[in-house]
Amino acid sequence: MKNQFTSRDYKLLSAYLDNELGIQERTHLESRLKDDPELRKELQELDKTRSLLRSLPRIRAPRNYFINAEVSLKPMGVRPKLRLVPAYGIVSAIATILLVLVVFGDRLLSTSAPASLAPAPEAVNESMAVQQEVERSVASTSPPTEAAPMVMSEAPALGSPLPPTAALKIGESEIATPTTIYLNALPPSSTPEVLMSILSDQTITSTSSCEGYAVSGTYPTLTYDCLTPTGSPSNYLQGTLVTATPTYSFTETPISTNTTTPTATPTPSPSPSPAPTDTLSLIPTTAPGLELEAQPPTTPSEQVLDAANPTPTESEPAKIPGTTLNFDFLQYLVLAFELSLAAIAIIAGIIAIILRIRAGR
Amino acid sequence: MDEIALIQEAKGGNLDSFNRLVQAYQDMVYSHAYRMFGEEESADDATQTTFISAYNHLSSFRGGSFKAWLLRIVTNACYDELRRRKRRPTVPLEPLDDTGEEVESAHWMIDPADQPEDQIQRVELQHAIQYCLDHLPVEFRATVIMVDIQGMDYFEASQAIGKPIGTVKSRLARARLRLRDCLNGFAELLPSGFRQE
Repeated sequence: MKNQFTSRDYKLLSAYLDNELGIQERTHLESRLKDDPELRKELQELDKTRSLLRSLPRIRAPRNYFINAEVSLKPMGVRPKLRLVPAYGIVSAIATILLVLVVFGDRLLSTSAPASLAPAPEAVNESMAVQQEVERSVASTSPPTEAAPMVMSEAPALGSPLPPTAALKIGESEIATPTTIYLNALPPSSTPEVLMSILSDQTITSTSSCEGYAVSGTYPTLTYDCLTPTGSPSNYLQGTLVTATPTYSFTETPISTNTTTPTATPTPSPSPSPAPTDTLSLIPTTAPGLELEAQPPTTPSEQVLDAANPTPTESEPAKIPGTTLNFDFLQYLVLAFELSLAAIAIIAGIIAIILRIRAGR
Repeated sequence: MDEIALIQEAKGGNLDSFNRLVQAYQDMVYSHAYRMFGEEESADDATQTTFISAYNHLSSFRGGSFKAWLLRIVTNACYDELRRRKRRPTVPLEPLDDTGEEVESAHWMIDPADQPEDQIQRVELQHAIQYCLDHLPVEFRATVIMVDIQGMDYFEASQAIGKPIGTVKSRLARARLRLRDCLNGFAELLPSGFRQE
């Protein structure tokens, strides 16, 4: 029988007891109470319950809760400090997500890196154009000086399978690193022009010293090559040409460093003079691990022919071992840095979550 | 001095004026907290917290019923504590007797033989009502304490709980209905006029 009344009926009965009904609702309810004894009974029971509650004695405070100066200045628990905890958690979570995205994004990019590291057609075209310009400039230059044959005579010895001399080892180790750093700083468009000026000068006068370049300021990094312990002008030429070769390759496509190197390698080769040909044979000695060192020395003319018509199959095995080491080391260094950042962010996020949980207690 | 003047002086930093307000309302605040918790220690803590918070946030009082404003603070303090208890349920420490055994509840230690029969029955009835209050949802409990025990009207209660009057009506009706059903289980304790027929 009690279930015949809805919650609205009880709401009206409760408000009726407290005299909180409007005139219209009150009149309507009173008419219903006259006709419905069950509704009257519900009203009486609710009234008894209400009376029981009102019969409870008023409890007096056991003590006075006066505020003194010390209490009023005391902060309310730790609540003010904990207001920043959610912000810490949110910031840490965002940082964690971003760093994880960076790490995995880098991994995803590295999986697609072989496609991007392949020699770009534009780079090949540019290298061919540079070769043509070199041919034109060499054609207009004077025949090589006496220093050139010295280089040519030394080249087979350096390119032979025999262990290189100590001076060359020092030159290799010193040349590789600073050249790469300088190349990344140069604008890609300007580098071939600078390189062409250097190459043309060297083909005209192979006896010119690198100090001249340093003083002129056209190629500041060549001052480093002057430190190469070489005793003859031909060694100066070797040092400048060796450093110039990777310079061009890295600036053509700075992202894919190891694939652009072959395009730059044949750059000095079109010159008919023997000096550039010898530098070609010296290139493997400057790049550690190049397989060209083991090849039997060829005549200058053959080297010119081989270098003038380079094919990707010839150049790729010569460059990948040497540059892959540097690229992998750099990649692992960046990856380790990113992982350490992600680890810090995750730890910070965990701490923030712990603080948040403790704040809720 | 009237209440409004005391509030204005307390806002100006007069601690004595605020303490006079404390003296006027501490029984009401403590009683509300006690009915919300059903035990003294938590009620004491909530009352202390309420007056400290009221003093620190007195500038946010924009007028109206100071009683309703205080009841809102103490109600929120009770909500916070009850939510904390819900997350971390605890077993209250019972007093130990001479043999080291736990005594179930201190108030049951009162020897009924020392009290008249009607007084015993009245105390047990109060315990039964408190038991039924404790088993109400927190929002219903706060509303029925404000209206039926503190004697507030619907408007004041709506100010104290921060809800519309319709919500007060609804919560109060449902709370009374549940209390009625709960108290029917203690029919032997109810006065003859209150027993359900």
